Amino acid sequence: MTKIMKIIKAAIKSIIVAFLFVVAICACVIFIGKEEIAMVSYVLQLITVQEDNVQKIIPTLEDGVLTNYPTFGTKYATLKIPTIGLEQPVYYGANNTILNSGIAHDEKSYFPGEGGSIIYAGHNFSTILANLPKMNEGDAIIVESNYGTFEYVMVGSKIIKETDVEQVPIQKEKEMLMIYTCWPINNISHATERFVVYANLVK
Amino acid sequence: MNFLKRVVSLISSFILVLSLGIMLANNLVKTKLLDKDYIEEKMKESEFHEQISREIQSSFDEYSLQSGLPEGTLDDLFTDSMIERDVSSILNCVYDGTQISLSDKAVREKLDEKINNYIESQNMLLTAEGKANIETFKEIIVEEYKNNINISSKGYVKLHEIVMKFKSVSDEIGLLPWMLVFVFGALIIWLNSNNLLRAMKHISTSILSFGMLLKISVMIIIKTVDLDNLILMTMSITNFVINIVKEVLLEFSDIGMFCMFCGLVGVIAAETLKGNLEEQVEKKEKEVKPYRRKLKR
Repeated sequence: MTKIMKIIKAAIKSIIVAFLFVVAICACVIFIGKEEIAMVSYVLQLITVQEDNVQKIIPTLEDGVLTNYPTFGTKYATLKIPTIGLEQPVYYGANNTILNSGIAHDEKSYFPGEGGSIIYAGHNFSTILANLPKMNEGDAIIVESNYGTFEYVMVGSKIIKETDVEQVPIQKEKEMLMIYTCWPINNISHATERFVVYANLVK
Repeated sequence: MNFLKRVVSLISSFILVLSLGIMLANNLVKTKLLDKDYIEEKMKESEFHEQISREIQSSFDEYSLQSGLPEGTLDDLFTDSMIERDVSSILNCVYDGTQISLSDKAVREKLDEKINNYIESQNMLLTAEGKANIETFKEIIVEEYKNNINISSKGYVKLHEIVMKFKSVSDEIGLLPWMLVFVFGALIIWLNSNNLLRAMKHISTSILSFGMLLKISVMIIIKTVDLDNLILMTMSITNFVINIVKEVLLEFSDIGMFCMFCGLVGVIAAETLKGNLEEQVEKKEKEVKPYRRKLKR
């Protein structure tokens, strides 16, 4: 029994010494490589998909100021144009994936209710904005967002070059909704023109 | 003197652990990161080329609807062998510093053929603007192909510089870790030459410590890094890198476990042998004692 106790004691002593070696090495690494560890941590955070960051907080609008903005790629509204039978989801941001799924909200523009330019874009597919050119002045456009419903009325339309960004101005003086799609509607390959609908806020 | 020997033995044990660590790290860099054949093998295992194919086709499909071209026009613009050749070209750039050469010309030729066939079949009369739009579209598709494979030319050149740096550091380190292990192992044995079992205990403790270090490091990495939710540029690169990282972590974990086991066995064996020796010495003492009493008289 004494022999076994001695062996166990020796083993425990060795384990403690070994563990102290590990602690000493870790302490040296942390002390010497503090900056490098912080940098690696930061980079890892950037490249890790944070599932908790999925948009769960609803935006709120108060006195023309929106808080808790939607995150890129999240659906935050539905665009409805009754006269052309359009009802499409609106996503914040614009990339090919979003444009193939519905309406893209240009990140450089404002949100409905903020009192500035709102720019929506969509492909000229039959399922999305192919019928946009069939709209007439006076047609209603409704944006049902997760923080309120906004109604606009069409006041005009234009065909512009894709590079004519002044025709789709971003300003904060007046709330104006601009929706555009590629032109001509039945184009083959790359379209260099855009069909734009302009609408003012009604309520 | 004995105390000094013990302190120096302890310090030598500690340096032995560090030497083992440097040896493992150098081996990891040499046999995995700096070995092009290993990387190619891992790419095959993680179906890297197939994933890139899917990513490229998926990005083409996003242009398909808006192009107004019939379904299938943007299919079969590239082959698996083209992807393999292009990926190999990038690996050669990273490891050997050669220029990247992609199969974009072949993609363009195939695309030209398909679009021209469609236009002819529809008897379309294109305006100059229409022709220019089609050329722009073709360039966009070819750029998509290039960008999906060659994510960043500058990045790969930078990666080549890093690989060369690692190579030179690894070459400089060379056999140094082995020498350190040998030297400090020999020092422990020399310092404890009158009690070799103590030397065995010190060396076993070093091995045990090294195993614990590996196991704890792997545990910390697994707990703090969410490997399954990492995104590195594209899914193909992400999956490939994560596969290698997981394999390395598993290997380290196995080595750690083995070292801990060997270390513990060494300590137990040393203590057991010490106990046996002490027993034998005690026995002999008991035998000799009566004769000593007689001599004293």
